[in-house]
Amino acid sequence: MSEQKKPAITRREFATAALLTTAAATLSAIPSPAQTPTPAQTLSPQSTQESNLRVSTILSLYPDRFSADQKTDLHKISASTQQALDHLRAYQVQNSDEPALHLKPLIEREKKPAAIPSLAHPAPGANKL
Amino acid sequence: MPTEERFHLPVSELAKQIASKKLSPVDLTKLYLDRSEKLGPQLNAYARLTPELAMQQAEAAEKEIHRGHYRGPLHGIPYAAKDLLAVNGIPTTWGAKPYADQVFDYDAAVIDHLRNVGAILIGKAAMIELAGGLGYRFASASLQGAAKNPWDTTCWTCGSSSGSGAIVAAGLAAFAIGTETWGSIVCPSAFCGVSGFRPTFGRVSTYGAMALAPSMDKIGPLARSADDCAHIFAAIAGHDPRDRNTLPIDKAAFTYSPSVELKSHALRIGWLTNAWPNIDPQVQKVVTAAQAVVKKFFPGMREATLPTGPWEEVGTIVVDVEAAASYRDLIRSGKVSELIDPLGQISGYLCEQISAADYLQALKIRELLQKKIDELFESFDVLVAASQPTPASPLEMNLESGPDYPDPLGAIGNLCGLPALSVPCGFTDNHLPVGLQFVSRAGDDLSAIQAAKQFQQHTTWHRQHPPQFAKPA
Repeated sequence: MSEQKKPAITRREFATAALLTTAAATLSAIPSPAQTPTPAQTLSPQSTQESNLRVSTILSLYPDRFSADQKTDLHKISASTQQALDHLRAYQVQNSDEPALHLKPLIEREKKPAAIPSLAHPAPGANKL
Repeated sequence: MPTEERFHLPVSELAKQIASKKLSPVDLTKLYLDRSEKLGPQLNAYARLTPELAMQQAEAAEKEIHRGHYRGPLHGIPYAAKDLLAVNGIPTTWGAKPYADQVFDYDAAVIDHLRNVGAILIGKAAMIELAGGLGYRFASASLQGAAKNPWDTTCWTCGSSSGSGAIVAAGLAAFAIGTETWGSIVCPSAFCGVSGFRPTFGRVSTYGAMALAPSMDKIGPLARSADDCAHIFAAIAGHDPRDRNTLPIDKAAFTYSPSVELKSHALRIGWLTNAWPNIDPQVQKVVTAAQAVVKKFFPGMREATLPTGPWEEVGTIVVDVEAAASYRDLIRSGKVSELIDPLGQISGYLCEQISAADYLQALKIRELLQKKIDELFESFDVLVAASQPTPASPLEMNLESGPDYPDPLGAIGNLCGLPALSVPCGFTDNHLPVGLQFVSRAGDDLSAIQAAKQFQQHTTWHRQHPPQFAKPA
């Protein structure tokens, strides 16, 4: 597939690269995406199938919206997303683990038994705010 | 160090002059408006200026101050706000063509807060379209075109608070408001050589701000010093019943007085050894020198390491799914094709296809990560690392072709809602700024501020300005 000849990176990688790129000449020791396998090349057959299915779904929902180049692009991005999903799914979580539905670290910290953290290390910001 | 022009003075010094009636808010506003009109277009820094509103606010501030009603350090101080913050009656474009004519009939909470302390809005800062919420490959992904870095106009400011960084660095306003979901305050601050503060998630109301990833969106200042950032943060922090993500009143509010004695000796500083797996050698050289400065004033500094795990993947999935929900109408209507960037035109369709089960898996890991980081902060008050592993990138660079830079600290900081303050810490051989970030525990914003302020008390990087923009317009 033609997309395998070009670097394929995720939206996050784009954003990260957007934030972080500079003259590649100063970074010759660091492998560039062109030197490393593309996500599409590293996916398992099952993951490749899932990645392609995602694109097929989009194309069936919106058959007239994409040019040929965009379709190729969709496959590349989907492969990168698949790579992220594979890593995510491989991380072991328990049935009892709770999702971080509400990000309120201060409140959650206060719910802990007070003696546990405060005996060893007083909460650093507790008396500063 | 040459004498600084007034337009490059920090808020704290401008405020002294205004309070003592040596400086007129009207004159200061005219000065910044004039510079912004002449120099702003050279940098693609503004979405629009708001001269009528600015002069109205400046005249009101001047009258109040003359009557003896001085409201505090932001009274009469001109600023710019990223163009995703609603301002009543003035277009708020989110940097994107589909919203080019969008006008709200109310003010964002941050705009309200700043008006209440007497700050003067002189314009809306340019930004990356949708704050990069649907991805982008080029710096040009903005209604105003690529924002140019005042230190080298062939380089980018970074995004998505691109105009905010350019405005502060070039002395076009005394400070600017930016937002960060993942890197959008810290990176422009580093690239532009200014001080930028990403507060704890939930301390600043996002009411009236464009939603990108509501569980990660934060609003904060870009300014000329850590001290300035603290003053501005104190003005905009606070619980807001209109934003259910804001912390309770006693946890959200922030009070700050620069006269409070710094207790830097008590801060437990951790120097992160694995924040950037890949780093530019020139940046490394500058940051190593900065490390020696930090060590000198925080002699108890120890090495610290971030936990390893799929944090960037978690951040990616959370942002992708939440962005797909935030821009669902745009995606499904097909108007997303009006975005400038080729990636932004199509990635939303893929974001929509990520399953709820995968999103919840990401949130479960996020919860575990938050616990790990809370444990890390049992041993440290502040973690320190380079703000970015490279200096500013060339304007025209296709970001797809650049080297990959893993960013575990950015992922962790934003998934855990940690405050971070980026300050300038030196320059590369090409005279591009390098930033150093101070990251503290969620809710303990003051420790990051104190550490950064201490660093700036012993360095002058933050008092250096781009030569091309150091003189009057």
